[in-house]
Amino acid sequence: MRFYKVKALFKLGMEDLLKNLNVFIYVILPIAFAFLYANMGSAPKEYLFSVCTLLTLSMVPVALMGTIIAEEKEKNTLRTLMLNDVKASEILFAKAMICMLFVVIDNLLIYFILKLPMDHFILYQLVSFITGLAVILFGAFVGLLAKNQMSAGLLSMPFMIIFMAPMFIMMFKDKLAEAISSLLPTDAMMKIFESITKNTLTISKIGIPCIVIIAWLVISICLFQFAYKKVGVDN
Amino acid sequence: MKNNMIETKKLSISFGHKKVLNEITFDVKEHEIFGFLGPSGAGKTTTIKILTEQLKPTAGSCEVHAKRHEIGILSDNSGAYERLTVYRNLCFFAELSKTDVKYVEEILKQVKLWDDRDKKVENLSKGMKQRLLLACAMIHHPKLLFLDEPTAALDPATTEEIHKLLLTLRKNGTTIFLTTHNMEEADLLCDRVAFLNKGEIVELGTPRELKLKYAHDSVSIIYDDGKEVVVKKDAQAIIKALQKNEKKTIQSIHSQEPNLAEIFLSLTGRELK
Repeated sequence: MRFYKVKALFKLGMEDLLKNLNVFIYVILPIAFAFLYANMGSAPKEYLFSVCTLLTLSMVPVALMGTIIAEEKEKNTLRTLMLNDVKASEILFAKAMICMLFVVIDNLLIYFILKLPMDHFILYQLVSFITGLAVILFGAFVGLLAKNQMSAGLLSMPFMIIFMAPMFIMMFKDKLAEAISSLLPTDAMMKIFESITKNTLTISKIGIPCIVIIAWLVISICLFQFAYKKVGVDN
Repeated sequence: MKNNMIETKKLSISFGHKKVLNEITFDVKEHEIFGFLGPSGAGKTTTIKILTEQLKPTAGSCEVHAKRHEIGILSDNSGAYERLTVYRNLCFFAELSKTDVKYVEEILKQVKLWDDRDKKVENLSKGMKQRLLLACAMIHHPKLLFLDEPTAALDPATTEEIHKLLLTLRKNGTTIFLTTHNMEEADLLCDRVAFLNKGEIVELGTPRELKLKYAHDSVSIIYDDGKEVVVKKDAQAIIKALQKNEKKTIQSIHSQEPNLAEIFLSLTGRELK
């Protein structure tokens, strides 16, 4: 991987994204929800942080990543890049960097908007960042499959619903649904957040959630590699 | 003697049962503009895709004597970042190839886009976009430039500007592989041309050679009153025709050479569209 190319792609990708409100809405929406939640209701701030982070992780690494790759295909810039001696891995890495940067920015802003105590600040950010890494390749997977922005939006929808599921399942208190939900990386993240809040960071409490997140990271890498070999970047 | 920049030998490719290229053999010399001519669907773009490693041939071999970063490509579906300005797009491609950004100004002036450098790409006309894409393809001073129908659907003024630019590039040492179905363009620009029909090369040579090879055996005499007399290309027949109309003023006498489109039509029975 040539980092001067990744740097150029990252710079351009950031500029382009900031001028594209249709897609930038994915970044703004979780922050807007944080503002809304901060000024209404009496739910614990830690819970609200979990919900907003869940929203960020469903929207930014999945929908945003998928859409910006699909747009490059739709506008033929992806082909132009690849014909200009840019490797697919360099393009994907730059896109992933952009999305992960916005995951961090969103989570930081949400943290400060909800005025959470600074005691566990780094832990919260670290866990949400690692979970973001575990789901970002699903966004890349969507980008590989989609031919244009519209189909990327459509394809990312099931992934967004799956990753947001813990938020709804929590309300129903159905055991089977909870068992299925516990296999999701976002559910694992929420459980780790809960342990951080309650100061119960023990292996017995966070061991399984950590395994779940790592398993998703491995599965997503395998799935992505499979899709990459089958479909290629510019199908 | 010039070295070969591209060499292909019995290059073939099939998609399913359809043979798109059938054992085509040609070479492209350094610093020449090589025209690859044929109607739509003849296999021109497929050839470029093989030469630029986007497709693998089913059989035969091809060698391109330029490294990946020494090649520039303008394909029929190249694209630019529409929300960004002309200048920013070109700076980006300069950064990608580690080219000095100072060169951006020079190249934008060459493609006559310097005055429009602050315009967003989405606000450019089709001709301006095509010039920008050409600038992106040549920002890194490529040794070899692949141009897939660079002037298709452009207005005559823009086409002329692109032609001038291509001739300057050739003069500066760039080898150009040009696909087109515009015969006038090929005649004007190309040092050598190959006619491609249904995946096969049916003729190859300089435009002059081909015109002489397929020249009609006749001479046309045009008089001031607009009358045209066509006679056989032999001295006696010409003198006889002149004597017959000796009172008229001659406007021109010229041998009848076919143009490239006519040669293609006579070889394949197909028009270049």
